[in-house]
Amino acid sequence: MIGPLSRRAALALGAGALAAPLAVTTARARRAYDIRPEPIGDGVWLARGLDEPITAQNGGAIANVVIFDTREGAVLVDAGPSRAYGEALRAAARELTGKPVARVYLTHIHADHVFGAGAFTPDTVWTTAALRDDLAARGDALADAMYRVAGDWMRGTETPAPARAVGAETEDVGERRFRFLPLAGHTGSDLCLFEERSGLLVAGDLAFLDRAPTTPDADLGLWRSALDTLAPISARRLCPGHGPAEAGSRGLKQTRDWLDMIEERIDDGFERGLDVIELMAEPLPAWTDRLAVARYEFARSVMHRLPRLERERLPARSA
Amino acid sequence: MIPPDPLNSPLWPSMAAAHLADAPIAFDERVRVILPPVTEDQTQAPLAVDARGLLADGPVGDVLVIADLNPFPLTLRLSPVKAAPFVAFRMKIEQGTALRAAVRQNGVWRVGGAYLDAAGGGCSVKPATQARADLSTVGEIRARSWAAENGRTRLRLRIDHPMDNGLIAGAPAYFVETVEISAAGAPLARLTLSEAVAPDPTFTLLVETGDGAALAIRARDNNGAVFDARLPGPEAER
Repeated sequence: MIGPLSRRAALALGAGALAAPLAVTTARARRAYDIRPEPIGDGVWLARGLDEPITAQNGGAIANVVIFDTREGAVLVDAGPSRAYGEALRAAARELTGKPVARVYLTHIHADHVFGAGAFTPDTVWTTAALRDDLAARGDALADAMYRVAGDWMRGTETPAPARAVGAETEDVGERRFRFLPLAGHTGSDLCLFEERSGLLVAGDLAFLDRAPTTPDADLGLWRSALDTLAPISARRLCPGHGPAEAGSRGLKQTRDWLDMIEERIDDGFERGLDVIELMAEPLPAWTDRLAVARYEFARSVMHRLPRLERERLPARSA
Repeated sequence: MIPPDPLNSPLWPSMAAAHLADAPIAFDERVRVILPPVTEDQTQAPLAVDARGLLADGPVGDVLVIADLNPFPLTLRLSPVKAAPFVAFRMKIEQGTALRAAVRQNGVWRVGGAYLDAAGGGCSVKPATQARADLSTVGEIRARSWAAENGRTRLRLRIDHPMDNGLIAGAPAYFVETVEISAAGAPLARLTLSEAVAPDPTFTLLVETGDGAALAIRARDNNGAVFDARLPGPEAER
């Protein structure tokens, strides 16, 4: 499990004059990520993200990172939210494998997955060409937003510039073969990986398990198609971007059920004339009770989807 | 005499002096400001103001929405001529702030509020938007009505407009200043907007048309442009 050593977050608002910006002071608490990967296969570990939103308390350590041992070095899938996290991850991988990191694959653009990549030499960081372009175009704005939310945890973090785009369908690193599945739906570019030796399918954020999915950049139709692509792969184990890794395809099914549920509820609320705030408070089905942050992510999804329905589906009435 | 602020906002005394000085002030839990659990997008922070609970004490006058720590604190004024003291919309947030509504009733400002934390975040947080380049659809109005409780009509409307607040280099202030809802020539509700209302202003209102008559919407921006729209009442929508 990953957990911040310090949970102090003394954000204090100082009084200020009307035109002056308010001083925000942060307590000088020592902050360090505590990364404890759990074995999920022979020479494979999972550093589990917390099933929480990104906050100034947890430093954004909410996403899963997978560590593979190979003859040529450690292979990571995703790098966590900040430079400090990436450095802690590098140390954890070294301790587990006794080798330096040979490759870091990034699955998608979200801050909790990519900003740790700055701790690794750009040559080792690979992703899709689309994600590379996307990082160049809006990575800095995402980093700014992460600094606002997570604060001092982000110190020294810069937008990663992956040196290589995955081109071929597979890459061999030592004795392992990674099969690339460049998909989309959770974001504009979602890279999934199937590692043949371990039989592990790393789904990135196309799959969530027992933690509600997030939709800030989602295309629900593409996301469902991506789940269709992943479903027939006979994996020994599925690792979602958030939530536990396990055998079977519960993560794929639960993610699909969630997407269907939010689409149905939000579209129904729109048809009944509900505003964003009203729709957020609508009841959710009982099965979502066992998902972490379900109510929170439903509220976010309302903010993502309802404005689009208003733009597309409210009838034009201009005289 | 300005009562102390339950939200303990440093700017409450100056907000009260600037906007609520003409009548006594009473904090009242029936004036509800409802906020999301997180600010997903600082340019589109949703809120609902619901003071229908006050109607037990008789009719109400203007509803003001005030964001203490915003460059344009007086966000919006609703004059509910024949409408409920209810409005839901989205606004731009500069930083975490007290958000309050003040409702004029029987010569008193009845005030309620909540604190909005701007530093939210989940899987990603949207950056501030740039000034809009394509203005070809400015002024287009979309709207729909529904039959609501107590014979009221629920109206949702969206006006295509950049709502530039003048604080972004190269983009002068350009925003909708007034929106008026009427039926058969009689005003039902009037909204006065500030630069702080979100781009493509979208409102939910509860108006009293009585007979489900057709509704007219007239918006005017600070360039003097007038945007008109008409829609049937909720009976005809079915």
